[in-house]
Amino acid sequence: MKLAYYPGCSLHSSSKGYSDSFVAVCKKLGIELEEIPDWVCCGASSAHSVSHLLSLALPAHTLVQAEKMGLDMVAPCAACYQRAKFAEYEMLNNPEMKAKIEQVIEMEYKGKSRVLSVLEVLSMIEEDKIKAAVTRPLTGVKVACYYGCVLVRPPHICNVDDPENPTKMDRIVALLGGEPVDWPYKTECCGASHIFTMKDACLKLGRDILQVAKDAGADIIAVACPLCHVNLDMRQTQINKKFGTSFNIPVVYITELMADAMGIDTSDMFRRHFVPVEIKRQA
Amino acid sequence: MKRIGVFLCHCGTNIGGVVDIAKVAEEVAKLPNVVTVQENKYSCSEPGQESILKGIKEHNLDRVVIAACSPRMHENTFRGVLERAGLNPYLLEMVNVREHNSWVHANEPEKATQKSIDLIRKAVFKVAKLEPLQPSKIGITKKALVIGGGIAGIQAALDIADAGHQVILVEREATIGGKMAMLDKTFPTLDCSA
Amino acid sequence: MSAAAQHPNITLYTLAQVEKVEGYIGNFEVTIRLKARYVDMKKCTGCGICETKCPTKVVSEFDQGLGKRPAIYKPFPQAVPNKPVIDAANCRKLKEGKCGVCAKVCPTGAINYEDQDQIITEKVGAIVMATGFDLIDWTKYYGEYGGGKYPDVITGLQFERLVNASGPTGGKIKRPSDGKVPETVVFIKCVSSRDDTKGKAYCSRACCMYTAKHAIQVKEKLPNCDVYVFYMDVRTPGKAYDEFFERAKKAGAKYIRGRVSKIYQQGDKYIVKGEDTLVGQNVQVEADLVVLANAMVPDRDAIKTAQIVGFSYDKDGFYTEAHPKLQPVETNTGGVFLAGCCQGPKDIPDTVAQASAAAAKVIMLLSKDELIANPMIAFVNTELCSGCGLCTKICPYRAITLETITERVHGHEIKRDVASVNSGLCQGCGACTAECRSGAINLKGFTNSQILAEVEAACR
Repeated sequence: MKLAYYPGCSLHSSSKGYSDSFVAVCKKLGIELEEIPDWVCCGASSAHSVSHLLSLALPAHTLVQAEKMGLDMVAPCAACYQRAKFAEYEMLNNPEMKAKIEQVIEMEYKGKSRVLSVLEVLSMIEEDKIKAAVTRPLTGVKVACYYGCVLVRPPHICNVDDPENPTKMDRIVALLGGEPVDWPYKTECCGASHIFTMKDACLKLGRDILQVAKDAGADIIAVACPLCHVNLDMRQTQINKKFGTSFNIPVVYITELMADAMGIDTSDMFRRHFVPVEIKRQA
Repeated sequence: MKRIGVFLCHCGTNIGGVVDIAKVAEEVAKLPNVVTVQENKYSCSEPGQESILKGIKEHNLDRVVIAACSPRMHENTFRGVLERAGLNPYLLEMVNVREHNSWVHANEPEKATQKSIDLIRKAVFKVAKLEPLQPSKIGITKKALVIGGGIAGIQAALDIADAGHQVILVEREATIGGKMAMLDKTFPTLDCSA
Repeated sequence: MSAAAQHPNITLYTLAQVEKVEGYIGNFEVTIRLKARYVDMKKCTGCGICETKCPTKVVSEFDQGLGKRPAIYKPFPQAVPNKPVIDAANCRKLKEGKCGVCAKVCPTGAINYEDQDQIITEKVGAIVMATGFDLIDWTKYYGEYGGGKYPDVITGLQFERLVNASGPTGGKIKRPSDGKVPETVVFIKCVSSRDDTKGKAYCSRACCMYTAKHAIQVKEKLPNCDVYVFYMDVRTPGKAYDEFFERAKKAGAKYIRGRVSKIYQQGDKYIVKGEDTLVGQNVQVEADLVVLANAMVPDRDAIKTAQIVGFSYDKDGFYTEAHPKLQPVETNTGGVFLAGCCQGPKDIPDTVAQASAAAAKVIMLLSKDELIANPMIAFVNTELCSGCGLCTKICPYRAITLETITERVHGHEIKRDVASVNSGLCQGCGACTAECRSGAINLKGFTNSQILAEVEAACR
């Protein structure tokens, strides 16, 4: 399998570990990635607040590049994925909007390339292949898989998983030998883009997610979205300070967890985390 | 030669408020075989029906076109009028100039008027070709089948049986009673359900 | 129920399913499968010893999964007929050939493990459809309410069993998970009804009232229990209905206008997160028991049964009435009538009213000696008919068959097939006339020449 890789801004900066681990895991599992040379920012989360057309045209531009490469496009960042999926959906279902978008980007979308999320790509790989690649199973590691809100919603567009009780990440954790915990906050919102304008409200959302994960017995939280990661990892200290809590839960990307289980060197990836990442396997 | 009568219904203002009935009457009168064109405020009303009956007899009509509402509403009513006038009730053609015309074209009365004329012309041509029909008679097995033994099925079965007819009540489960039997008390009186 | 079983004019077949319906209004021939009961109804006295001795225990369908029953059982104490049946799928004797306890203990020798299904046919003049409803399987659509993984998030019908004196708890309201008496009960209305994004777009009509009833029942049995009802609207049109809703509020039920976004377990409580849209705030209730008012959907066999009998149903599987206002209990198939929830969600008073209306229509039909049939039906010009049979396939009422006729052609006697219309079955839809390539089949009142006259007029 070969895919066009759309890293987006986050994976080239704050969430470099997500990109590195995704690329390494894909290599290990025989998925060839080719970065789209002329990719542009997807516009999240500001573009769609100001211009519907702009919010569609930005990711459409990148999607058409992928189509020119003759490949489907994978966007590991949940926001990039959702924005690109919106663009794909509009262009496949709304001829008028398609014409407007094509006029803006000055290119034609033939409707051949699909937008894929990291969960869809990982789900395409046979279970045995993932199991075979695991050299350091996550024995006894309890993982709360946190999907966040944009990856699986709205369901008629982002048809990745059950929007209220997604399980694709849990399945991966189980294949890695870990123990996915059943917890109810899988798709609660972390506040994401409102962190600058409504910090207090967002910190409370983050606190609730961490608390429920902790109550469910999680050792670690797995995510598939750079913004979720920032809000739960980087802001964990702020949350502790504000609410007098003492959370110390590592928050890792699902692909980092895979890389670690597959024997890939994750030291540089984990070095970038705020909460120290320690994966406590049981003997 | 056929003798066709065309009866135009105003349906209060439902049709008459949109369609220019006088103009329709004038145009329809020119159609072949049409011997009379008459108007009624409410054709389905008692006086409306009487005037159609009178029209049929007076002009010795053998075919009738009624431009009014949907035949689902009053076709049977007007068939009765034909029968009372001594005509075969199936020598009637109804034109739906209300649902198919005045209601949906309320904002374009001129077009609606023209459409009425067109629709009535079609009916006039068709009615000339109609043949008398005779309904057949079929026998009846005096027994009913009720499928489902919940409260609905039980009630229907009891009523039919009480009227003196045989009823077969078929229930898929091992007992009748359906969902109702599962209930505790029932609103709004809170009496028991079993 | 017992009145129906005892009525001299009613023949009751339980464990029975209609397999085939042929014929037409006034003259239906119905094939019914009587499933093996393994209990001889004539010998059985309904004493119930077999039920107490049966070693098998399985989940009770009648108690909506909240209780257990043996493999030989009466669904509930007042079952009609009040005699047990063996559930072949779970009976050890029928599955593995071992056990046989019920036969040993039966004082009248009524148990017959060799019992077989029987097929019978009946001739009837009219059919009433009263196949009822099921509740939608909400667990498929509501992952946010646990998708069925929480034992104390139950349906309204399960609550009925919990509160019923003959139910699994003897009428005591207890949590299914641990038998604890709840201190807080939350009711959520419109779970999968009035929700076209994940459930059904329609209103299930009975839920506002039965939820009010449940709230009253909780407050009556557990006066100190807190009762919350999350609702979108309260719809209580009906005689003495709104008063009943007021009574629920007076009894102490707290109505909160808003949807519940999530239910999850915390310790032995369920956290119910929702919104109070009247004050514009998020609310959170710690509940012991959550009761959902789910959408009513047609019975699981409804569509199959409609196809067997031969009439139409809507996109949700509810049976379609001939006219929503003027023919609400008739179907488009002559002689087939509708009663109850098979036609659409409704409560008991409406169901009873509709059932009596359907019965009146049947009585009207059966009190005639013969029926005047609509003459506007299809007829075949056998000279033009080539016997291709296309019309027999297109006819939705199965009214056309091929029959062999004998003719003399050039002095020779030949046999050939031509279409033949059953005047009792034909509803005059005209599908066959459009399908017929040789123009041999015509609809009286809408013949090809009559329609062409219209076309000619239209082209003027």
